[in-house]
Amino acid sequence: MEIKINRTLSTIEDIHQLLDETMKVVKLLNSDDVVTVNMQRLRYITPVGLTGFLSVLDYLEDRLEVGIIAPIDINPIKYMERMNFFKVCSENVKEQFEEQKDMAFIYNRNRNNLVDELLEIRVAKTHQQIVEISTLIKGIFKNKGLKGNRLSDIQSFITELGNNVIDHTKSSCFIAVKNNEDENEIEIAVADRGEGIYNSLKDVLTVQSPHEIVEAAITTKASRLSDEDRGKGLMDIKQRAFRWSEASVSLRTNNAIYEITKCGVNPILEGKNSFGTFFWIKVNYS
Amino acid sequence: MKTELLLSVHEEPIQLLNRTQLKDFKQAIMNKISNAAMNTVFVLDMAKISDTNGSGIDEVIAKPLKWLINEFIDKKVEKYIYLVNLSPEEEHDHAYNIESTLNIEQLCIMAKVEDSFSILGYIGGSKGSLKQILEFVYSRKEVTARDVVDAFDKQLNTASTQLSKLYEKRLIAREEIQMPEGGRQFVYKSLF
Repeated sequence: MEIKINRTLSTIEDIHQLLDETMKVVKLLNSDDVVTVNMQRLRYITPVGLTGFLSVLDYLEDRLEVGIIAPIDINPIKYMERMNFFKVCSENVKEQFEEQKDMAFIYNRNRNNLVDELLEIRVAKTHQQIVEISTLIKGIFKNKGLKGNRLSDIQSFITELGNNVIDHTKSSCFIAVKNNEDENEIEIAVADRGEGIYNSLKDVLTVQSPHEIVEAAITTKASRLSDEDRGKGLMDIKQRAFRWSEASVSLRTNNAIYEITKCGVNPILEGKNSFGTFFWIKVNYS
Repeated sequence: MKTELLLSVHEEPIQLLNRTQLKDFKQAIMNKISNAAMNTVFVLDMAKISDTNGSGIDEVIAKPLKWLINEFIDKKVEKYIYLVNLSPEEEHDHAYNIESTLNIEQLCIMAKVEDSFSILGYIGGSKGSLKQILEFVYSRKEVTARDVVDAFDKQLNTASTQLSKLYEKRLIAREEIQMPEGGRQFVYKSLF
């Protein structure tokens, strides 16, 4: 069985499509079956898309034998390498790329030392790693001249979402931050492959529909750990995001993409039930 | 009132970025507060704290503050807390982060800023009236309800109620004194 990757993997809608395709195929497979992730058509991938892709691979490799068909176009592979994809993906995935492509050439390209400038994909499994990533990213944006309050917001987006992943799922946390300098825009993506917001909260809330539960998770103190007086992190993120001159906040969880606005949480696209929660925050600092 | 530092000296400032890692730290703070004598005013020195987020502020500032308010309402425990040495915006941006978290919790705390003060969080009241009176108390250091009446042309009952609200929120202290001409009245005092 094959999971086909589209030409682009760059938005939360693309991640939504990938999850739909993944769940459609996984449903037909038994454990230890082989699934091939066919990337032949892929032409364009962004850090946001990479977080979704990594979480899908992580999910599949836990259950099935995973084969890879590498993209025909070399450019997305170069970009994936530059974003450290091959340092954070599994050895299995890396080896299959190496069998199909001249990866030595890509690995050995001259790289400028952009450690303080380039925001590569990060994977965290502990709170300490989340804190370290947030501190590093805060430092990068501080060097770029972003102002104090906005630096605090970025650090909060990463730490609140990342710590939630560590606290509420058994999953790794995949983090990407993209700075679109020409448009004064910053994109932050935080993905996991946990059970999702609905499954995490359905037994502790009186509201029952998945959409109501997701809305309660964002706009109230609803939490599985409410006896510890928790559940304010997502409220804080929403409050902070809309202080920027422009902001869009969306997430994909359970079976839908939700748009989070100042006033509420609206489902905008439905699909198949899947694992994981995928946050995508875009803020503009013009 | 006795003033006491809430944090012992740390070699390195602490990051308040992860709630789970702060459980022991918060417990130490709560123990110190609950074991202290009545009329203690705690000073949280923010110079010992570096980067923060909402969850960290919630554990170390909002929850102890909420506890102080509840202890006062339930048991008339007279203890207070305020902040000093807030880091500026370009460094750890304390005021903004504290304000964000306390707004969600509808809590308010005072911060000493050089020779002045800052009000952080949600204070409530209509048309800024509580904020106006709080600023008045901190600029005068000590006031009575009669002083508020004279300064803002309010009814005595209104002034008393508003001062009492600020006192319940643990933003100002109160002392009952004997009047020379007989009778008693409350004097409301700033925490610093």
